[in-house]
This record gives sequence, structure tokens and C-alpha cells, in this order.
Amino acid sequence: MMLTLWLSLAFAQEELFAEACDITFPIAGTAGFDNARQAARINANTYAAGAFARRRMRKQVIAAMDAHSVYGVALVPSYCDRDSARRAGQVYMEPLDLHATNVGFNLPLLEDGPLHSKFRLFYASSVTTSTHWSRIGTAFAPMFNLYPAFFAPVVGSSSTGQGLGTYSVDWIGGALFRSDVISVQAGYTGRRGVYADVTQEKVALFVNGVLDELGDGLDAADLSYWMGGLQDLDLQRTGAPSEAGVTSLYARSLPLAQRDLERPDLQLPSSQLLRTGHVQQEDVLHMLDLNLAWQFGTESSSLRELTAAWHTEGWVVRDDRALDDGTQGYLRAGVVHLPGQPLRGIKGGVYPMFQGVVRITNDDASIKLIAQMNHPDLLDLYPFGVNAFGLAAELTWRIPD
Amino acid sequence: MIRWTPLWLVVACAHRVADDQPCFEAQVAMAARLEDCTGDTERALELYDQVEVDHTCAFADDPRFEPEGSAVQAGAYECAFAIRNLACELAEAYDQDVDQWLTAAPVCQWLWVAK
Repeated sequence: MMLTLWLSLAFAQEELFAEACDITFPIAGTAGFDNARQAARINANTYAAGAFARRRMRKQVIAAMDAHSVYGVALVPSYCDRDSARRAGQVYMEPLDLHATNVGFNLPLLEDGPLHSKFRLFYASSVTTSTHWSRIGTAFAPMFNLYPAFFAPVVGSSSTGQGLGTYSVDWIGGALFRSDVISVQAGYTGRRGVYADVTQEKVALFVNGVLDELGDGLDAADLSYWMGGLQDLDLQRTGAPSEAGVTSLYARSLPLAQRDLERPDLQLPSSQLLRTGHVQQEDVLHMLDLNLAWQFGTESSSLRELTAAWHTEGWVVRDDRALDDGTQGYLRAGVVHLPGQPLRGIKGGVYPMFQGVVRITNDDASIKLIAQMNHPDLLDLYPFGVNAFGLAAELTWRIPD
Repeated sequence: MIRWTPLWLVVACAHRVADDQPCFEAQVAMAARLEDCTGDTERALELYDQVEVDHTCAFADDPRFEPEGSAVQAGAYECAFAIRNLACELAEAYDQDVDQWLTAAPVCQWLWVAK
């Protein structure tokens, strides 16, 4: 189904716009070009192995494999150098598409120690690409990237790119200790150095970050990002009925660009930091989610997101229960607000958002298929990605109970 | 008001540039370069607004950029490219002086003309 959707999108656009241009040159110096270069870097950093390990390699997961594509994340003024094309000799807007493939494994060494502790070795990797070319020719990029994802330490962490076509490989290897009290995950990432994550399990408090570099005088500015608060607190633990759901309340600061490490005195300007606060109440009545987010740290704080979601019962996994077998669905809709970003050439506004997810689960594995537009997660990553369309497939294998 | 975008833009397909695109790109480039060099977003946004105070975009009316579809239109984007590659010493010195920024490349003075 995912493949069909993927191909349909690619074919449809190829049919409609085949005459646009097939030999095209992005124009450097434009906002779209700058956004596209940044999108390629963000894609490489955010779907990097460390982020994947935190998000996906947890609890009962023994292996995971993801493929993400984002179509039209940036629109780049480009010159068409094909005489037979409809855009021959013209400057027109050509979209940039992104692809990311992730693979991860856990190797259980101890599964039932004191305080239900577990000790595992883990490996996670990422291969990311950006394309500014025929969508039909690049539709299978996430699948072709599986091989280097499996063998990233051999392939080596690398990043190459001329113009807007980029290719980047990253990996992380390390150890995970998890008990009823605390979860500690630490390792080494091929491209970015030391990675660490500590979570207090009982009250769901967490803090994590990635250091740009290790050196003398470590301070907050060396944190690539930070995030902290309360995550996935099941209100049942406080004596509330299970219908009250699961609460998350957290704040975070995400860099929208990399610091220039050759000029350590120059901090990222405020426009390059996305600071947001989040209130989420999930699984209310076992079928509804509410999400509210606001942006702060700029001159005027603003609403970031107001969305609601409906899902089938059992969608939210609580109390360390395994996923229910069968097919489940999730629909989320609402509005997102993007402030104007003159320095990126983006006009702000309120945009409709939707996300549809199907999850199919059996005893050992599950697959999740996602289609989304203007989803806050996408816009957090790519603040210029207005109306970008994302498709993703996430496969998970779990340790049998 | 929610921005309901046309379907062909919803999935971000190829489409025409705006009529004043080269001017817009130069304007964004000035502000972005100033921010790059100084880290001062407010100063950069002031410059962005300043461009339109004393200058107007002449791209659509200047016969030197005709006909549409000619390579010379692509050449108009050289202005943004030159500005984004301006030395930081110059960017900091030019600050809010738009006329100075427009000396970055000859084509800049074709694009943005004094009111």
C-alpha cells in the first residue's frame, strides 16, 4: 500500500509536470537554494542515528527500520537548460525532495535482572539523501539506501553533496541500561561524537541532548538541542481513571541551523532557534488526543499548533503493554501557525494540517504507514517546508513476551 | 485566515516564479547576509524593510530583462548570489545603507531603483 501511494504520487507528478524540465540548475544565492541546502543538512542531522535511537529503539523493540520521504520541502528558483522542455530557458520553482532510511538493532545481554533491569547493546544508522530531480527516478531512494544503512560503520560516516543533491551516512553504537527506576542510553555517533540520554522512569521526567563538541569550558551553548519536561505520564499512576489519558508537558529548543564551529564566538541568532512549549493529552476516553503548542523565545510568542486526533482503541500503548494485534488507524487534523520568516523568504500564516496513519500489528512485528502535510514535526524540522508532503513507513520487531 | 493553497502547490510541484522574484531574492539576500555576519536578527529585519522604503523593483518593467524565457532573466539572480557572498566586513559596514548593498553586482542596480 505504501509503495502504491509512493508510486502514485511520483507518477502523478511526473505525468502532470513531465514537460517542466529534466535538465535543471538550481540558482545559488536565492532563499530557496539556501533553504534547500539547510533542509538537506537538517534531514541528515535529524534522521541521524542518535535521534532514531531515542525515538524508536526503546522498550521491547529488538529491531526497527524506517523510510521517510518529504516532497517539496523547499522550492528552489532553477534554470531550465533543455530546449525541448516547456520551461526551456526559464527560471521556475523546482521542488526539493528528501529521503531518509534508518535501521536499528538491539542485542539483549540481560533481560530480567534486579528491578526488572535490562542491559542491551544497540546499533542504529541513517542514510539520508536530497534530490532536486525527477521524482520517478528517485522514488526508490529509501529502498536503495538500505544496504549502506545496514553497513554504515563499514561504509563510514560521510556526507557528500554538490549543489542540492546530497548523500549522508551516520551511525551510532552503544549500550542501554533500563530498569524500573532509570533508563540510561549512551554511545558514540559516527558523525557527531558522544550521545547520552537519561530518563527517570517513575515520574516520566527526562532530559537529553547532543554536544556539538567536547572541550574546555563546556556550557549550555555547546548543546545542539535540549528538551525536558514530563513525557507520557499515564494519569492512572496518580489514581485517575484510565479514560483521563496520558499527559506530556515539556519544552525544547531546537537549532534550525548549525553553529559555525570556526567562529565559536558567534551564537546562533534567535531566528535560528525554535523554542516551543507543549501540552499533550493523549488517549482521552481511549480514542482522542489533544495537542497544544506555542512558540516562545522570540519577540512575540505565538500559537504553534492546535490539533485533535481520533484513533482506534489501543492505539496508545500504556503500562508497558504490547501493541494489540490487528489493524488500527489514526487521523489528526487542525491548524498550525507559522510566523513570517522574511530571512528565509517565507510568508507566515495559519495552515491546515492533517496526518493519517495505519498500523498493522501481529505477535512479533508491526508496520506503520504515515501520510502527512504541515505536520508540526515536519515544520519543526523544516520551518520553510510549507505544504511539504511527507510519506513514511516504519517497521518494528519486538522481543517476544 | 487559513491559507488554502491550490492543489498543485499542496504537493509542492514545479511552478512559475513570481514576477518580482529576482528583486525579492536580492532583498532576502541582503537581510540574510547581515544576519549571517552579525548574528543580529533585528538589524537584519530592519534592513529587509528598509529596502522597500526608498527603492522599487524595476525587474518587470526594464526592457533589458526581456524577453521572458531568455537567459538574461536568469542573470538577474546574480545580484542575490553576489550579496550572499559579500565579505562580512563590507556587510557590517553597509548595515542599513541599501544603495551600498546594491553595489555588490551591477545587475543589482537594474533590479532595485531609487523611488
